[in-house]
Amino acid sequence: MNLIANKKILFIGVAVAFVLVIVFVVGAMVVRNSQTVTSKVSSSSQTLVANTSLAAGDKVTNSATVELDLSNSTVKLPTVTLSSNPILAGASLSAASSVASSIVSASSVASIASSASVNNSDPKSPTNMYVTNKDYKIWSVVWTTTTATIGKLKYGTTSSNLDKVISDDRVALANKAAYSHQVTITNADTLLNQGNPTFYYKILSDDTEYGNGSSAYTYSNAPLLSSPSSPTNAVVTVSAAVSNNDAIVIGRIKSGTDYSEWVSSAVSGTNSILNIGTARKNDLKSYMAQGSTSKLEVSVLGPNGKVIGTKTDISLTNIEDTTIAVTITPGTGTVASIASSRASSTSVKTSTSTSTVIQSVSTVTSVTSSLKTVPKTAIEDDLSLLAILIFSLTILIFGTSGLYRINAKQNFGRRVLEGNDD
Amino acid sequence: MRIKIIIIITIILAVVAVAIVLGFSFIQSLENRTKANVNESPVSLEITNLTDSSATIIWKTTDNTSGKVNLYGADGKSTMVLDERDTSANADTNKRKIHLVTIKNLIAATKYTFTITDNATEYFNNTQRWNFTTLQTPSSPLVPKPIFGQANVDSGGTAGILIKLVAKTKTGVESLVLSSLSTDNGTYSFDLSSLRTKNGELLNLDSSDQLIVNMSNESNKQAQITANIK
Repeated sequence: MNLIANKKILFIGVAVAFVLVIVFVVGAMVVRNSQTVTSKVSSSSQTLVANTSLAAGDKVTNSATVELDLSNSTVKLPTVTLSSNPILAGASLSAASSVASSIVSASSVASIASSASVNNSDPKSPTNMYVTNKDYKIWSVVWTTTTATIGKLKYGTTSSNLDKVISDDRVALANKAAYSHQVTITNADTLLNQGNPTFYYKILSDDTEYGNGSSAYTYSNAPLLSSPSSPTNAVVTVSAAVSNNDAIVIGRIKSGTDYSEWVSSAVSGTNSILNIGTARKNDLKSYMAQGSTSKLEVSVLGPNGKVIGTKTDISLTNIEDTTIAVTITPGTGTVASIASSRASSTSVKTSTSTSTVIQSVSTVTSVTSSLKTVPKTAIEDDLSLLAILIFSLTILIFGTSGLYRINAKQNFGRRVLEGNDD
Repeated sequence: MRIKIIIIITIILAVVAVAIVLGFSFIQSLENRTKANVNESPVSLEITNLTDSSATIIWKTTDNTSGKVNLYGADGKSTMVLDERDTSANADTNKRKIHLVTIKNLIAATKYTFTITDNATEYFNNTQRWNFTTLQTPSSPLVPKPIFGQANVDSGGTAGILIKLVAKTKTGVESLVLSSLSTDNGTYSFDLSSLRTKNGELLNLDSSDQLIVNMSNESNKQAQITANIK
């Protein structure tokens, strides 16, 4: 009788465990499949973020307007160069946005591209527009105008609500008409501390709005990197002071055929310090290496909205000691030389240069503090899984042993009763 | 006997533990997949090169993904159509952000529905399939009118640039979109005789009409040509 009872317990235990295994595995697979089905639904409302930075000297080459004679036997369009520039000229291109539903009823048919954002005949319209200093919780917009205007940036984190306005970085030019403009959003802005926001923005030029066609430009905050940027600076010296400090220096690193994103800094007196250590690669996922073959390219955007000085292929070898002459484009400003230096963060803070550099230092500080709130690591996730596993096993062991004890008691009772009957 | 029971129960518990681990790993991999789907969903989807027998579907993704079209016929059966540059349905090594799938041998004036897939997930237009209707067959043969161009990139390769062309007449009539991919050296071509209005009618260009050519690549670099017809 005892043997039969134990066999029953065993049989029940095996059956229960087998059913549990089957139920769990099947359950997990069902959950997996059902969630996969859920994830299949795509709203197609996602917005691809455009890189709106400009490349020096090629602001025209990525757009062209031509006359075309279709009566020729061979019809050829002009060769253009794709760049990160916004399209600066040309007609709007909205043809695809309203394809007749009788033919194509896909609701997600989108417009081909943004329409022209710049009317070059409008002296207030932004030219030489760059998004610069793209680092974690900092970014700048630089532009020039061919007439002096008060430049501001109107921005927000939704395209329909550009509710914030920020003035020029240079206090003296914050509400004063100028040809060069630089506006910087830093981690002092509460919006930059709300996750990893995408910004929508338009340029205000004497309160006239200039966007990407009728839309706003977009910029997504650069991600936090695991290591801080190097405190490498390039000091640009202007031989003659520019009137009202109305000039901006932009620069980028070239490594092989790749260019970094632009960094920029306003001219103060006769100097400008470019924090080239914060120049990121185009994907913003790492800083641009400054190897022995890396080159620096620098331009000065000056009065009358002109590029008054440009120098390319500046070697970054022995950067501490090198002073490099710059070829000057005749104009209203003069750049004498570019001296490069590898400065410490402290010396950057105490330099007489622009607020941008100081803000870059604060970015490094924010990297350090933000690392404390990094989401759970894979190891932490594994520990959670282990804890759940141990808990589940404990429940099973106690449950099974409890079942065994109950059966044992029942068997004992039966044996007693059988003994009494005997 | 008790020792035997304990051993058997221990084995059972071990099996259950393995099942639990497998189950959780399933769920964990599922969670990871769900997170990844956000950037793998198709955006900016357009139906281009629409004719009486073919259509080209183009779309973009934020991350590099493999992209294919599941085309559904009237019988509800689906056919997988690959990107023009792929030769195998399992070509996961050819992941891109710009996708271009051309569907050929279609029936004129017929409605087709389709979804987008990246092997792992099937994407819908909200909860429905996308759809398009092929055009009527032209009453007379078309005389090809090729137009050529070339694109450079300030940094990076010139292959696989997405080129889109739209015609706009002086009266404001706009054409359906033509699309193409650049070759390795950045060259591209279109046949202007395939330009159609939104009503499916042939569009013959005249003086003062306009061609607008838009180009973009995997790095989101762009260029545009506006050509005014003499």
